[in-house]
Amino acid sequence: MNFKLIITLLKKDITLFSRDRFFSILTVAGVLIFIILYLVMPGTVDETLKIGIFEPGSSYLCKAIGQMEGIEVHSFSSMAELQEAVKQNRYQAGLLVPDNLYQKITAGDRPEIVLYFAPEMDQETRSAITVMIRQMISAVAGQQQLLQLQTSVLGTDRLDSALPWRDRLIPVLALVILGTEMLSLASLISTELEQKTIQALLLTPLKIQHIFLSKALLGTGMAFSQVIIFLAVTGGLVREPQAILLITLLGSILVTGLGFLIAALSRNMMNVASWGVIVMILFLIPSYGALFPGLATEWIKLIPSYHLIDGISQTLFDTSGLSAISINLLVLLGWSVTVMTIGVLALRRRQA
Amino acid sequence: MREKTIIVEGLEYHYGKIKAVDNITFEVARQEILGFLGPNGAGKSTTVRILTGQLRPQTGKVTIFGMDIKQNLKRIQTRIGVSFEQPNLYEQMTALENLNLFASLFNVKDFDAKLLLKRVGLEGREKEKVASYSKGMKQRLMVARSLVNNPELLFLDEPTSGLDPASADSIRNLILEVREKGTTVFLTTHDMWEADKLCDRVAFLNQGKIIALDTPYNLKLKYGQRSLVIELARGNYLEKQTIPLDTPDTADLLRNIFNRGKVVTIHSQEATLEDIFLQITGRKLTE
Repeated sequence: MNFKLIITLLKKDITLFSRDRFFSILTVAGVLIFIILYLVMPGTVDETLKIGIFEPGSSYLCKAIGQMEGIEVHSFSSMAELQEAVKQNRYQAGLLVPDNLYQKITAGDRPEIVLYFAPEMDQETRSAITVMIRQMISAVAGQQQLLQLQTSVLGTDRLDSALPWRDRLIPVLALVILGTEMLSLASLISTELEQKTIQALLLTPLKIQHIFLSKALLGTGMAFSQVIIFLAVTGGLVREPQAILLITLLGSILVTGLGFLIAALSRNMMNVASWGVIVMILFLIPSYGALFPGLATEWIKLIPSYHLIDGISQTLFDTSGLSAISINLLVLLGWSVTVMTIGVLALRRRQA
Repeated sequence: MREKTIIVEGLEYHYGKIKAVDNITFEVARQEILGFLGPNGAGKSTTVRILTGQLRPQTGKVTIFGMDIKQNLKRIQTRIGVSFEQPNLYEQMTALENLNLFASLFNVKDFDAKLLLKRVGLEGREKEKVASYSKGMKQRLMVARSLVNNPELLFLDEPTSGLDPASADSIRNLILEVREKGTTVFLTTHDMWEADKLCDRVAFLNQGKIIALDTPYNLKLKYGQRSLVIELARGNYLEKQTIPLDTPDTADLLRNIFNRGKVVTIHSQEATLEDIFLQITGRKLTE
């Protein structure tokens, strides 16, 4: 293999890539936007539960709840104020306590306490708050209530180490960067085929293997370097860098193979965009697993990007090393080799 | 006996059931300019693609520089230059970058891209992106690119297509210039005047077969009919008459015309390659 020829081709491809305004802007702006997005998103999770209370004629319950750890309570002077604050999501829950609560309890009545929830609160959190409020009321008011409680942890239990949204987004954004590079490479190759410049190249001492190798190096190099820049800025390389580097490399090879395949299937830029969108939609499905742990189902594991996202997530958030993500690495390696082989064969057939 | 640059023996090529090249045999001597003429679909492009190594011959043998093309393709390709009819240049690169890229791939030492661009009349525009070039400029750059490796054999497919007369002339002069330096030229063209002027020999290709191969002079001698075109004054208008020059009746026909009125002009006329192609095949070259 003549590496001088490969270097010449790489220089040419980098020149062409840099002169494609759309993809150069997309590449630079993409990484910058994702880094900025990461930086402007909150870096911590506020785990304090904010509860509003309207307790006419008393402040006993308000004080008692306020002493509990992790709960911030605010007393409202009217029911309407309380309802409005909860409605606007400024409080996660609101308690409406009836007049003369204690006299009613003493008299043996079963007074009614109304619990309001913020509109955007999910069912799991509503249930959790309901249980907690019942326990608090029974503890404060001394009223015994027998409650059957069932708890379950969905997905990764992050009760004590909840992830900020921006961290959860890291694997997804890394995948989007890889997807962008896949489209850039597919566009570059498709243009080369469409304008038949590849014919001119093949009339020089170059062989088709040289061209494939240079494109593979360019695609993998561009995708890998951009994800690594993104991960370096967002702190993704601090924990287990070997595991992150390896899984990113395999992901980059996978998208390069897909870039080959898309280029082979496409006749023009519109085809590249259409195929690219289809692949991206499919590849983003497993990202819901990273954003909403517990929603991932078994069939999602059939999508190659699952192993990329899961591997990055585990490495970043659970400090898993190479051994813990070995299955992800193996599956990703299998997919990368398979897709790259199919991509090269398809491109060879198209070129012939 | 001149050294043979190209030897083609019994070459055939099929696209499925369609026979694009049908058992053709010919030779091209060193420093010769061979014109390959034929209408669209005659098999010219397929033949050129085989000779340049873009297609593998299915039947027959192609020898270039004394080497079998099947076994020595890359060695042959380093010594040939190809200019395609449709420009396939890197449009987002400048002319200089395009030429330097190919010089680098061919490993040409001390390559002077500016000098080559000057030879094809692109001086002063070398640092502009090719995308901004006109069709004619791209065509000239294609010819320049085909000369980057100082080829011993040059394939030119419609090199003057779309060029203004002055540019076309400069390309023709360049072809003659490289031939003088020892290069063999395989020229594909629709321009019969160009073929007549440039080519040492021309091959007529029809339905995949070579139907005639000789010098333009010999072809005209063999197939062409000389004639006389006479303009005769008939009152207020001119009557045009054409009579064959090489028949036993020519003298009688001519005398007859002179008796009928005043002869205003009289010209001899030779057959063109186009006429000869039409005569042999019944088809026009530009079909």
